[in-house]
Amino acid sequence: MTSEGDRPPGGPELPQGRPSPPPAGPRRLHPAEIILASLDNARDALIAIVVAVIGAASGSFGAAGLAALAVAGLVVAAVAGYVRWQHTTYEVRGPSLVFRRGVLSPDETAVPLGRVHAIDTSQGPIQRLFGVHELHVQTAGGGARGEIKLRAVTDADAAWLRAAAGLAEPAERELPGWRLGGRRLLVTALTAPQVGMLAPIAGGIAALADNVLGNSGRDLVERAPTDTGSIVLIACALLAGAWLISFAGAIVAFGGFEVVRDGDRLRIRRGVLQRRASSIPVTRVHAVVVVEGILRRPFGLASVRLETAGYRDEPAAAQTLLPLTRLTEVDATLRELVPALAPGTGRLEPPPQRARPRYAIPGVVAALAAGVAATAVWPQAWPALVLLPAMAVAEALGRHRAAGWRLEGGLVLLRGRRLARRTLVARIERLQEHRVRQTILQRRAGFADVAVAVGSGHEGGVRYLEQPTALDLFDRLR
Amino acid sequence: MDGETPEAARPEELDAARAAGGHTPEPTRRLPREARRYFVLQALVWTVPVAVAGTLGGGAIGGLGGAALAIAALLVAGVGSVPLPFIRWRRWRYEVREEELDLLRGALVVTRTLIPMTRVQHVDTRRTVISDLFELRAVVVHTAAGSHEIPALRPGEAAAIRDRIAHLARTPDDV
Repeated sequence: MTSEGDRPPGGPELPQGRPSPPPAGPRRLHPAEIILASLDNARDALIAIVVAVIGAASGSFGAAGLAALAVAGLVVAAVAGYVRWQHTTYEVRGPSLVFRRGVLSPDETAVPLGRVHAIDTSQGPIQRLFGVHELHVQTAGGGARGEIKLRAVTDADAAWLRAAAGLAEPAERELPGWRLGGRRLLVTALTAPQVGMLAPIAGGIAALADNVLGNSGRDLVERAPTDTGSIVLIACALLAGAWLISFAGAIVAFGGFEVVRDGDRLRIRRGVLQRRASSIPVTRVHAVVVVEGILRRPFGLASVRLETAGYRDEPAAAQTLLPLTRLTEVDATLRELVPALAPGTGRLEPPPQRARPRYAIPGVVAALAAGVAATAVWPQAWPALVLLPAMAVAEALGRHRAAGWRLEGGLVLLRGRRLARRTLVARIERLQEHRVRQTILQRRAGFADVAVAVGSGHEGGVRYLEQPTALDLFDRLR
Repeated sequence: MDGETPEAARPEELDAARAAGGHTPEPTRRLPREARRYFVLQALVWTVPVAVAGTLGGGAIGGLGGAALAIAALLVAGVGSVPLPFIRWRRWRYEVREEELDLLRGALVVTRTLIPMTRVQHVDTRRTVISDLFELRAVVVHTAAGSHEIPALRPGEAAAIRDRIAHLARTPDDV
């Protein structure tokens, strides 16, 4: 891997004379790092403290003893935090940014400045208190490994670091872009995709609580009403709880979300408690995915995700380009932000009608087997014999209807559905690989699947195309 | 060179085929004959446990159902041990072209994958204890999205292919 080509085209645009020259020699982080490191230590020690407290509670340990223990723990955490801060330094040494940390066996990470493609900032409550930023040095294709995170850096230090890496300062002027308004934020949170995922987790927690509580839990259950209405009520309460957590999570992650196009970069700001700012060179965006979640699709709403090499291990919110948009507005918005990936508004080519049974067969077989097993164990469950296969057929028809592909300029669009309907829009020249696949049964019936992988490691594809169509698509993806 | 390892198609022919708008020519290079026994040995890693578990389980259940289970397990293990690895070997084709790596493989599910050379991040040769028994090496190609391998090559050929891919992948544009 060479470092050429990783620089933003157009070269560094430095505000003349503004950033101070990089200071010579290793530099410590802002002392706010002492607090951050202490909190880290305290959190790590918390488990030990909890164990100690539980142990003490069974013995003859008074409240004073507990307080003393807590204070001692905090003091140790603070001292360790101070020592850690003392031994954490960064400097520009030759062509590299060198980050050094650790007391007994120091670790040194050196990142060639030429490979730095962005320095993202984020600001939590503590950083905001001291007016410092957390810097996240993003490198090309680096993933989470070998990346540098500086947790407390002043504005001036951030400025010379950016200058040293040849990165432009964020434009001060107001740029055209896209902002998530208050009403849309509310709808984003109301329809957050985590809602569906959280219900089973809540159920799991309930089961776990039952195990942990043991006999008292069982008493609780025995005293609990067993009629259907109450069970439904309890389930609703659990769901509401899960949904509330998801709602709050989405507000915290996407509050104040805005994305602007600043020269050859996208700049994204988001977050309520932790304010984050990241920037991504537009050339590095290999694909976008339009996700229509189950709660959003009925209202014609969707979110758009960025697929960027080097961001593979970042949390999902970090890859969001548009948290909530009307499906009909996606093309226009992308035309403004990432014109190379605007998908157009044409229809997708569906898989052939004769493929419909193929989509259904595996699910129906599985559903029948499950129905038979359920009925064998519990004869009253016989409606499952009809209901489960019917659901499987409906699901398969939905997947068949959702599937499709289109070639548009240098783009390939591939759409499929599992729970949410996802449309991958990828630049053909940036595909990591593409493939055509055929089982022996598909071969006999003249079907084939096509799939592609993009730089973030995500894949998209369409199943059961006519074989000549699939081969033709395969050829045109080169 | 092995008689069953034909020469790669010449680049001019490929360009002609592409200019004519034809399909991408199928890859032509095959794996050496030693790979057959190597594939069989690899398959035994799962077929033997299946056979043993099926027979023991069938015996434990007893009766007609037990016998059916044992027979089914032995059948699956038998087919998986020899015929499938041989089909796998017969199907395997690869081609290292200037602009892409072309892989065609699979016994029950046939997959053809194209990996552009500009996307290759690095390339390794790999040997394991089992592959050493047959004097075989794998060539593993890594991209930002994952990795692919040509599983069984003679050492000299593996090294040559590795170096050729490394040479062709030398100038990536932008990840």
